[in-house]
Amino acid sequence: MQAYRQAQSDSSHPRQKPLVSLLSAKQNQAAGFGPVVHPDLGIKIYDPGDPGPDEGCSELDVNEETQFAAGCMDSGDAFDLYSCTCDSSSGGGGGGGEDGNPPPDVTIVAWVNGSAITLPGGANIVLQGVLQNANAAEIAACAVEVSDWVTGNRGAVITYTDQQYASAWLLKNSANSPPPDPISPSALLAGADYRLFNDNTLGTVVGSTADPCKTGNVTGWGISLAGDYSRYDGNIGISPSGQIYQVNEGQVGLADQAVNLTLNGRSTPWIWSVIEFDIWGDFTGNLHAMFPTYSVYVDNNLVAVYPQSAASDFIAQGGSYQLVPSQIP
Amino acid sequence: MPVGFSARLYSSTGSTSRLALCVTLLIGAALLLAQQNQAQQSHSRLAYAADPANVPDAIAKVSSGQFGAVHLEMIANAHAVQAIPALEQQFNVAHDLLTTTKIASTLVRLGDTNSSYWDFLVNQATLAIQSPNPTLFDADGQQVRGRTSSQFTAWAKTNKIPPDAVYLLPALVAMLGETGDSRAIPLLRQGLSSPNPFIQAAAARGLANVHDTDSIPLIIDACRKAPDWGAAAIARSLVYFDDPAAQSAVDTYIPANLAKTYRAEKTMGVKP
Repeated sequence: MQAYRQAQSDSSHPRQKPLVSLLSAKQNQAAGFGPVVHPDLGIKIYDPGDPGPDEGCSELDVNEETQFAAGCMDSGDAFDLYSCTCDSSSGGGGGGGEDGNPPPDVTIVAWVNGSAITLPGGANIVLQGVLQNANAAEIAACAVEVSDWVTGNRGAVITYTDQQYASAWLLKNSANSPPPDPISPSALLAGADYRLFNDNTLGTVVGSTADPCKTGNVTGWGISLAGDYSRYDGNIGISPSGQIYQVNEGQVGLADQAVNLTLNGRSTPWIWSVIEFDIWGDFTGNLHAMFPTYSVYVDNNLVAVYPQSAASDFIAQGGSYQLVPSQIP
Repeated sequence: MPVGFSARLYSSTGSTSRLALCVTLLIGAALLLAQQNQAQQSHSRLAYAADPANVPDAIAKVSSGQFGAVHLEMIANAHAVQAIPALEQQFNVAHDLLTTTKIASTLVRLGDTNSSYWDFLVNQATLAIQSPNPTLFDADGQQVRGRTSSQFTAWAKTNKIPPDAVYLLPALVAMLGETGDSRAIPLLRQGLSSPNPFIQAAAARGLANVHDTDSIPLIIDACRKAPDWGAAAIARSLVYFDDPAAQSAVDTYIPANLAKTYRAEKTMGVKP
């Protein structure tokens, strides 16, 4: 048997049903059913110590496994994955929590709360003058200024207060709408008004950043820039404490990273959320970055909102602020 | 917090209460002074890119290969010619268009006479200037939101330009203009005829940067033909010409509050 150590992948997004798949299989394994069967995909998971595979099973190729596991398996939790023609009942049944119910649908939405961002006082009047977007001329002026920042030209940003003002203004004017309660996860996903979308059924997505200048209002062009996926986005694994987790991690796109570097002299920090289940399929909690705001839904209902820290504190973290799956306790 | 803590601790006698009040007031005053001091420091402390003390850091970043456009701009502004060898090395290994073009622009600004950098800049600016109108119009001549024209999409694909080219192209012209090299004048004048007002604005700023007063009528003509928002963006360059016709056009094409801002920006020493 060959144990796959899944390489981290950032090739395709969003990923389909990643955590649910792994969860069902692990639950069965933990319940002592031996080689376990994913109820939908006809996949058997063998512990490296188990005999097998059964007749009629063939080893999954890497692509199939990618679809199945969609992330990195910790080396200590290696599985051997086989695609089997055998009936799912031969492996001990499908997934479900300790009470036999399927695990809940957990959704974590990361969104920038514009009303929680205060523009610092004391920025120079020229900077405040070019960072406006109320009419067509202002929109054009703003777009030119921000384009300058992309190319490393600081323009009217002179003091530390200026750089904080500019950063806060950009975030405030690219903020998201607060996600509703309750939600339809698929509708929310399609609406694309978020920074991160983490759902144990629908997968993970890194959202776009709206153009703070609202350039599209005068040009008609697209009004958002795609976010940048972390290599750990979509990563699924089992933590040292036995939690099954799914990581959603990203940052703003390359042009916005260049803007941040020009304004703040620092690389861009990452944002992330992590959904965690215990071995019985019960939602046990989540991890998230200090920014932006995170709304947590269980079976479509809001159960928690974690407010964002000050934007300046977040920006000051720099690019080393990132969750690596091995840090999950 | 200090108030409540002090009140509980010293509530036994009147004298100790007064002492607590004094201590609390002193602490409060100290905190207030610290806050004011911090605010003053924020207002006087320079932004990273504006602080000449950070130029050595920018050079080190380029040498390490972990750098961005801002570091190149800082090096160019400081005329830090000692960075030329590192820049030449990075030009050969950079793989994104923005970074490569910015390196070429920086090398030209630093006086590097290797013609390949100038040629690269000219090629990228030419590509941008020849790009078709990205705006998509419907049958009624109205802009279609959120999409670019089919001609632009096909052009970008043919030229292997990234999907966000619509935002990138003006920058390619701007990076030629910021060299301040008069060899760019003919191409920048061509840029005034681009169907993209942001490319026109970048070209006009480049002409202002080389102080090409002969281009003033051409810039004003571009303003006249552009949509209002485009005219305002193009006319920004005219602020930098000490010329009555140019200044008059500023007041014609730019709303008063924005014109005031641009003139203040020039006074601050910000380049076109």
